[in-house]
Amino acid sequence: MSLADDIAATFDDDTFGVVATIGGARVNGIFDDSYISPFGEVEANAAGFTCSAADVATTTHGAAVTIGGANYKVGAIERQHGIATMRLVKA
Amino acid sequence: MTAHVRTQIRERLATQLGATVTSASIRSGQIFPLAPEMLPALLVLTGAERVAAASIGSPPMLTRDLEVNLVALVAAEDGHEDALDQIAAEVEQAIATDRTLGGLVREFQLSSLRPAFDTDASLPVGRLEIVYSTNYRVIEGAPQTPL
Repeated sequence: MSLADDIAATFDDDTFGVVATIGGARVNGIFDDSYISPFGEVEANAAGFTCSAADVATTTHGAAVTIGGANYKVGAIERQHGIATMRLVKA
Repeated sequence: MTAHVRTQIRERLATQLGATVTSASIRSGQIFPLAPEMLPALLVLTGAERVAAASIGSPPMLTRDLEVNLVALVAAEDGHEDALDQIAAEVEQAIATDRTLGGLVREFQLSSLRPAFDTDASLPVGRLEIVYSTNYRVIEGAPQTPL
């Protein structure tokens, strides 16, 4: 099994992943929406989506993202080792 | 029982700021994190204080140098700096209307502004700490009565 196959299996919505719509395309990945507290003074969540970098190769900051009916925009993208991790901003 | 001058300063600031600051809700005594819908907000906090005897005799008169922190918080997709600067403008104008806070303090001087931004949250948060230095005097043992 190739690395690409491993990545695809990890992000498959039959395993750990969910399906997001990013810039109109369906992309499998892992969605995280953990609680954080900026400066210890505000209640907030840090939404992020991790997927194969190949699936979002042309995705840019500001691209529309929909996950589970919630709408976001791409705030930042970290691409490394074939994986892309996007920080999502509420739209 | 009359409250400590520190408490009186926070209460007076909340009133004085509330008359001019319209870009944020004034919050004094906040210890838990604010819910997002409570922003924009301006926290009124009394900070560190240095105390020194300013007279001979017992009880001595104490001169107390207090740092007051006014913390502006905004959450938005963008425009954080402009929003924080607007709050700072309103704060500075409000303080200028009475720099003795109704006679509680001898001076109330802006000493620094410290901006910071947190982009990890899905609604990014901007913070501006507006620091004032102030001084008040009391007789030792009577911290509720400013001189």
